[in-house]
Amino acid sequence: MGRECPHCRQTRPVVEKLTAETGVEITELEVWHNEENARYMRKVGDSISKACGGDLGVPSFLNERTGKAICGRVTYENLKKWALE
Amino acid sequence: MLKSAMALYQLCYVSDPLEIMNKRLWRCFVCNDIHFGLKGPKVCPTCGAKDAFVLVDNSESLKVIGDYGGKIDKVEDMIKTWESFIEGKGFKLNEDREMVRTLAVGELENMKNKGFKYCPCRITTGDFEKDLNLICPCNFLVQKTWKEYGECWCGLFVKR
Repeated sequence: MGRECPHCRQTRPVVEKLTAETGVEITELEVWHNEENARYMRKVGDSISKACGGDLGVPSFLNERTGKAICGRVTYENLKKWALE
Repeated sequence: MLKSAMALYQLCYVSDPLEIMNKRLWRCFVCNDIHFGLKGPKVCPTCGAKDAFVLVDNSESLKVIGDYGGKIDKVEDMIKTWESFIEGKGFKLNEDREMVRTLAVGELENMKNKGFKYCPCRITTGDFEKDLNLICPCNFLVQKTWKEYGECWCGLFVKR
């Protein structure tokens, strides 16, 4: 997530709905103002940048279990599929 | 004497990181326009002189620019810059003005912390040349989001 990223703000309710309805745990990491989080994102960045179309972007979601990432605006259905597959 | 600093504008459109290494600085000998590119413009965009650009040293060109060129360090200035950029083009600013302001605030934060007005919805890699492609406006016309949704990555620019 990025603090000044509008899509991140718009995505937050979708994430909250998913965690409330499924119990899936999603840890939010702010990456523009927290360099440690940014470093982590760069470290695991290959799958994220692929999902983002070549560059690292936010909002990004990385499933640590499957290694799959999704990036950018996301619907509830897509997020749920990513989290539960 | 009219002076202009086009360097940052040019940097936004570098798609091949190697290309920047070959770029040089050029000065119009009529009006002192400074251009950063593989070659000088055939016609000076400021004074209209033809074949007037000559290679200039980096430090000399920075002295030519000096303190001129103005600052874009307020939200209102950012928005005015974008409004000027979209004039006569096939895209416009997002109609969600709150979103536009949020992006302006984010870019000014990035300017303060990282030295460039990077897109707040992209993350810098630490590779200077790669990160030049993240300066707003980026080359959004080639992005997937532009082709699929008619928006740049962050949604600042949208198709008319």
